[in-house]
Amino acid sequence: MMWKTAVHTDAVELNGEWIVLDAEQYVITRLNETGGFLWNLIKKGATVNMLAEALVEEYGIPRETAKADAENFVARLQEIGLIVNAA
Amino acid sequence: MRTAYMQIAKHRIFVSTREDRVMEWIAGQFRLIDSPPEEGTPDLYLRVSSGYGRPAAKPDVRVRKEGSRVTYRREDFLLETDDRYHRALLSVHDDLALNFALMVLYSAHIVHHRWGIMMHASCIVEEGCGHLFAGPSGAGKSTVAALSRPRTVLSDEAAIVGLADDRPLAYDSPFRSDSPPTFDPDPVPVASLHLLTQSLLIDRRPIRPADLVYRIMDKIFYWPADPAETVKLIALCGNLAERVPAYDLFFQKNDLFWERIS
Repeated sequence: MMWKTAVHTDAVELNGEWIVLDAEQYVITRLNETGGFLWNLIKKGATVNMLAEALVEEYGIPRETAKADAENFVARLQEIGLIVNAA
Repeated sequence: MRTAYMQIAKHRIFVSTREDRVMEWIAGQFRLIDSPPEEGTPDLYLRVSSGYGRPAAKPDVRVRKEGSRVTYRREDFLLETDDRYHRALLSVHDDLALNFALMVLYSAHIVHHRWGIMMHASCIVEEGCGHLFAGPSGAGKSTVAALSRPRTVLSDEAAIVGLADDRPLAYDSPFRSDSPPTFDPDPVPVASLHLLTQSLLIDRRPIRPADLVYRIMDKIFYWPADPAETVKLIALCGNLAERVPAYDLFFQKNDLFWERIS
């Protein structure tokens, strides 16, 4: 499944930390460095499997853990409305 | 018809009105300038009339966007503008409403053009640099401004920060609480930003840039009309946080905090 960032969201990166503004709801979300890494990939149209693969490559974590982390992250972003299903 | 050019920061506003008293209100609060033709067209065209509504009992502004028209309404003013914030009609109750409505319009204009932001902050000049002191109402912005004299006070309530140049610049603000504007057209580079807390002890602690963005988003003067506009705020705040060192400032009601800053 592919995702896209919600309309009217934008993010800034400052020293490895990310701040995302959802201008529709006027809500600010903080992401750590890994969150920001995944956010950028989601913006480029990555699937959960691609996110997991990127985590394995970037951080050298086991594939199972990466998959679970990517799924959790995507679910959380969807829950707070920062990403929506692109299909 | 009476007309004039006024200037806020580096923006020129062409004002017209049929009423002498409206022009007096404008001349009393804003910097009027001659505008030679070679300077190009104004950033904003504004037509003002009075006789609208009554003194505002609540500060809330109702905002509505329909097509390319944006309307801001409060008991004491009605402001209608295009969505490029280039041409506006304003009806006001009195001079206070005029000042406030112009702040609403100007903040939307500078965010639309990604030029800068207006912050809930006082701004004091020390050795040619601007120091911002931000906080909600009651945090001590005006107190800091009063305690900092004889230093120049560029703002005591709503600081104008330009972010389109090589470095953030602070401009004289006509949107005041107590002290009068300087009407000095030249900006100063912003050297620091402090988030204010009144305290029995004086202390200054650095704030990380990401924390700063998180904490100043609610200290921007901005009345959201359109999410496509509002979203620009995050990049502007990030731009400021990236380039200006920020601190929590715990201060007593005296000017000793300057020893921690300079």
